[in-house]
Amino acid sequence: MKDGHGPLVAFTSLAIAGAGLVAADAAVGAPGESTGFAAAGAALMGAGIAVSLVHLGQKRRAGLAARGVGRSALSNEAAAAIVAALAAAAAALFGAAGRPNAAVSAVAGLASAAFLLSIGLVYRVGGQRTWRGFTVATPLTGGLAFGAVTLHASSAAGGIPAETLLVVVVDTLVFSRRWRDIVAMRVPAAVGTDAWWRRRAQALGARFFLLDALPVFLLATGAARTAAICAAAGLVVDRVAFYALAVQHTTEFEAALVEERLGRMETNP
Amino acid sequence: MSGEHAGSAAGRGARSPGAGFTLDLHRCVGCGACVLACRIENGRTGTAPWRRVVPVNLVRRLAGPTYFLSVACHHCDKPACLAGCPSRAYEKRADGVVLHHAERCLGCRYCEMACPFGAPQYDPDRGIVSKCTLCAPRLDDGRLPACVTACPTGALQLAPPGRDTGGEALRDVPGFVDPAGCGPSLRFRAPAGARREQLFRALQEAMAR
Amino acid sequence: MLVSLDERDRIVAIEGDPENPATGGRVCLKGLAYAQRQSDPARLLAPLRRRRDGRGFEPVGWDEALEEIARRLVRLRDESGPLAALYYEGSGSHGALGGLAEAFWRQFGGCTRTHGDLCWPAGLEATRLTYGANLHNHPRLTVESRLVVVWGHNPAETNVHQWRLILDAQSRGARLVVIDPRRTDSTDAADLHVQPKPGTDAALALGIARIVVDEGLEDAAMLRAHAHGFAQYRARLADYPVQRVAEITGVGANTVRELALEYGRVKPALLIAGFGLQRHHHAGQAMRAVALLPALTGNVGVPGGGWQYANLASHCLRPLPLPPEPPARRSVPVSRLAASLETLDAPPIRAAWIERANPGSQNPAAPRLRRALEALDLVVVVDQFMTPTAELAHFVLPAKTLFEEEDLVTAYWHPYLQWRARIVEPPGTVRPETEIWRALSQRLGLDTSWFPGDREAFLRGLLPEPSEARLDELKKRPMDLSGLGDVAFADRRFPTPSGKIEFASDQAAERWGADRIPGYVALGEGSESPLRSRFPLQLLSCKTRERIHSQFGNLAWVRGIERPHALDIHPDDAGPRGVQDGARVAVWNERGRIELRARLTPGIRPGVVHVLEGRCHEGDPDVNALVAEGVTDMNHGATFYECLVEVAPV
Repeated sequence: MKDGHGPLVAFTSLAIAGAGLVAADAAVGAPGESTGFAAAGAALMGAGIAVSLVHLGQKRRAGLAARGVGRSALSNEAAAAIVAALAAAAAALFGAAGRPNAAVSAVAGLASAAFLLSIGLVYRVGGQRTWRGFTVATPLTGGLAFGAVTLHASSAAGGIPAETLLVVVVDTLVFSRRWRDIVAMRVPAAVGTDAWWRRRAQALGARFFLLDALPVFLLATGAARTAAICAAAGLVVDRVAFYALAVQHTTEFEAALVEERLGRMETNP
Repeated sequence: MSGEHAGSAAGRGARSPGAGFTLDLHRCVGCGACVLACRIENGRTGTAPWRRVVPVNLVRRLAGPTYFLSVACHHCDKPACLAGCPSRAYEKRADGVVLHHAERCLGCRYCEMACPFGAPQYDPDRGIVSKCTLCAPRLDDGRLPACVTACPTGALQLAPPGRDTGGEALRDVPGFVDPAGCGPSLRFRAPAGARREQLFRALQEAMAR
Repeated sequence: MLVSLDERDRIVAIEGDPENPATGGRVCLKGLAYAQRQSDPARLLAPLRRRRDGRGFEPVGWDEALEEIARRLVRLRDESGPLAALYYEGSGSHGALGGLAEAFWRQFGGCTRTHGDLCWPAGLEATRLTYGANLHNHPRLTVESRLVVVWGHNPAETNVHQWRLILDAQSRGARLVVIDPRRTDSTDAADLHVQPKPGTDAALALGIARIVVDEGLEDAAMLRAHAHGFAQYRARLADYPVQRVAEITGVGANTVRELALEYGRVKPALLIAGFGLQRHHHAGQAMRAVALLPALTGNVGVPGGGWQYANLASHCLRPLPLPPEPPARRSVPVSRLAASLETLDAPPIRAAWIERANPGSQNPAAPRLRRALEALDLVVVVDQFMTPTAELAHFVLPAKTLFEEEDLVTAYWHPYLQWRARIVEPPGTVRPETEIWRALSQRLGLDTSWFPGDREAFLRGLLPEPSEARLDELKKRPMDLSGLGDVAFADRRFPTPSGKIEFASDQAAERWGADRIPGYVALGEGSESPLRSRFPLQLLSCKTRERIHSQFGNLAWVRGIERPHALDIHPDDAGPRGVQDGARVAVWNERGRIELRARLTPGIRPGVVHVLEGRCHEGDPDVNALVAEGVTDMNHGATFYECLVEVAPV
């Protein structure tokens, strides 16, 4: 489904950014600065949830998604989003009232991480050839990377903390696997001739560059705010590329594989 | 199997495998009568039909056979659409038919993404998806699906639930596999004829490598 | 067909007629497509008149349109005589009532008409000369064949009901041989596919006959009792040793032998010939050569055997009551319509009435024909859609569909006469052609009683046995009224001059100036022609299952499933010409030039290229621009497949 991407890209960018902030804050952030990030995280997640409704063909029925909780990965993700957003909002309220609550913050962090993981699980469907394997954990690793980088943006301290570097390295490792899988994937010409697929190595490379490599460099050189903006851009590129490079398995796809094979059999009998 | 009314076996006890189609690749000439019949029966006059014909080797490379895959929904044993649907809008009946309930559909299109066979189709005008119903109303009435009735060569048949189509029936052919373990109910008969049989076997072997 | 309508008269179900033993209750995709065709938004619902500025059409009322048409026809007749008007009808909508146009034209004083047709006449005459009548076994007997030979025919696409029966025979162990220069859906299923050069079938047939006779496989008893001229025929076979046949046809000698031995030995064997065999100048003789093979091998008059080309058993209706023929008559061969329009004199053609046809796309030399039509003073086209022919008209009158007027319909593959009910009123202001003729006759002060008010009573009167009871039966099911039985010529009575199967035919010589014994003659524009030095490729323009010529392909449903038109060219021919798969190419000869996409097709015979015929929408190539206005050696057919071209990238 190459059409209808806009709302999905917007929703997942906002939601991953927000959850990434909250989860990264809980994991590696300094306790005193939690309030702002929790609020920002809650706001971003809330905005993401709202935008996700735009994507629905029957917006009025959105509440029916509750019926699939426990069974449908998409229902679970929706539930996790709401829990994470509410938890983050709660943490923000506690903080705003001047009584930051470590337990609530921790719950918000865990809920956000769980939400990020649940996004990955939604996108493990057999119908999509490029959404397979453990590399769909990139919402989690990428969200955390974004969060970790952004946390540092407002910090007066220069350089790059070890925890931030660790989070980014994990994301790099996970994502590099995805990069290799997708670049190596053969898609028959009949199915995969669009410009995005042809330039997939570059598109995925841009994501790595913007979300992992460049922010580390910028942090190390003291350009923390630029690093955060860069990481945000990287997150959006990640999401755009994610949908643009979706290759749906269909019977037409299989038939195209056969055509290719026949072409090779013809030249090498 | 051919010409039998499915009504006798519909909805009686949960037997596996469920009802589904059998496609004789020797007889299917890719004419598209099944596609048009499905359109007419289901009122898909202005939207994409639920059934489609996917040709294999239409340009007739000499290295392989040419045949046609008439596909719609395969009413899988473990449907990806049903597993993923957030509002539980899908139901698998006792006779194997997988039905989509329009009134519960959010139009999220997740099933469209999840199905490895391209069965659910999104209707922008209605804001929901829809797919082949195996003509459940006709089945319940003791009649065959419209596509089966329309097939002029008898290539497309309905296999009732609980059938074991025996050793001749193939689950996978070049051009049709089950990449996600959904257990589609579609079965095939291989093309016959001295030449085409040989070419088909060679192609099967080549794809297996 | 069985058709269900909803309360707004839209088709909600179409199924085959279970009472038709030949089609087994099935209907092909074109029948199903009527559900869309009946109410397609592009369907013409009211008369149109060409605007004065010549750009497009404007709606006009029936009265005004017919008034003006009548006035102009009368003036034309006064100035140039009735023969200045051409009445042209095609096969767009079959039915006995179609013949009533004659009731107008005869009273008008006559007109110029066409004779022959574009489809099958050479084969009809060849069969008639050989067996005396165009009859063949009931289709259901196909399943009793042990060997089915399909020659110059693609039933998987063009007669799917026959194809089903062939598959049934095959699943019972029959072998299938298909003879076709192309690889098609029919050849794919064959046990043996023979790919001769187009136009060489006479040599192949005679080569097969030679081997059959050399091996002593001919049915000597049958020939002694029922063959006329066999000795002369056998002497002719001396000219067709297998090496010569292999050279002429491009088919390997071993394959020719294999085919001949199989056809000679396996019984019963059915030989199904298609129209493709007879679209060239020597069609009649080629068809005779092929048609004699079942007679040679004792496959005539037996279930599961036979020569199958056309079955006219259902053509048993009484002649239409019509006014007497006027003294002035003129007729031109349909395959030379453009030349006729260009060159006819005393009087020249000044007006044309075209119905149930699209000659501007479908006839040989189509662009010349369109230019000739454009030059006429008056063109009236009656059609359901705005075809390229209708675009040239001064008046376009909206035509009915088959659901909108009752009629009797004959067939040519099975023996059934069918009643076609009227199930819906014509939409808009559409009128059936019979009503158009009545109204026009009225305006000219002619006798309108020739056009029936009560069509049912009128049609009943055409039945061989014109009783109420018979008509009631016919309304319930298709009927075989021929009294001939399932097996053609089972009684071994052949209505030829000799009363036998004519291997040598005096009529062939007397009527057509053709050789008494069939033989192979190289096509003037074929595989042995010197013209090949300039145009080396033989062009075929065959049919597709998704259309009937220029019908159905304009419908959105069909466009959704159809395969795109392209030039099928073998890689061995494409390579040296620098033609890439999918690239745009020009195809041309002295007569015309078209451009379209190329499709590299290993399955076609090298030296042969193919484009689908039938123009339904923009982008369909004008392939008939390349086709000559040739006439077959017998019976005034067309020569679509006798066409040399060259191809190059654009």
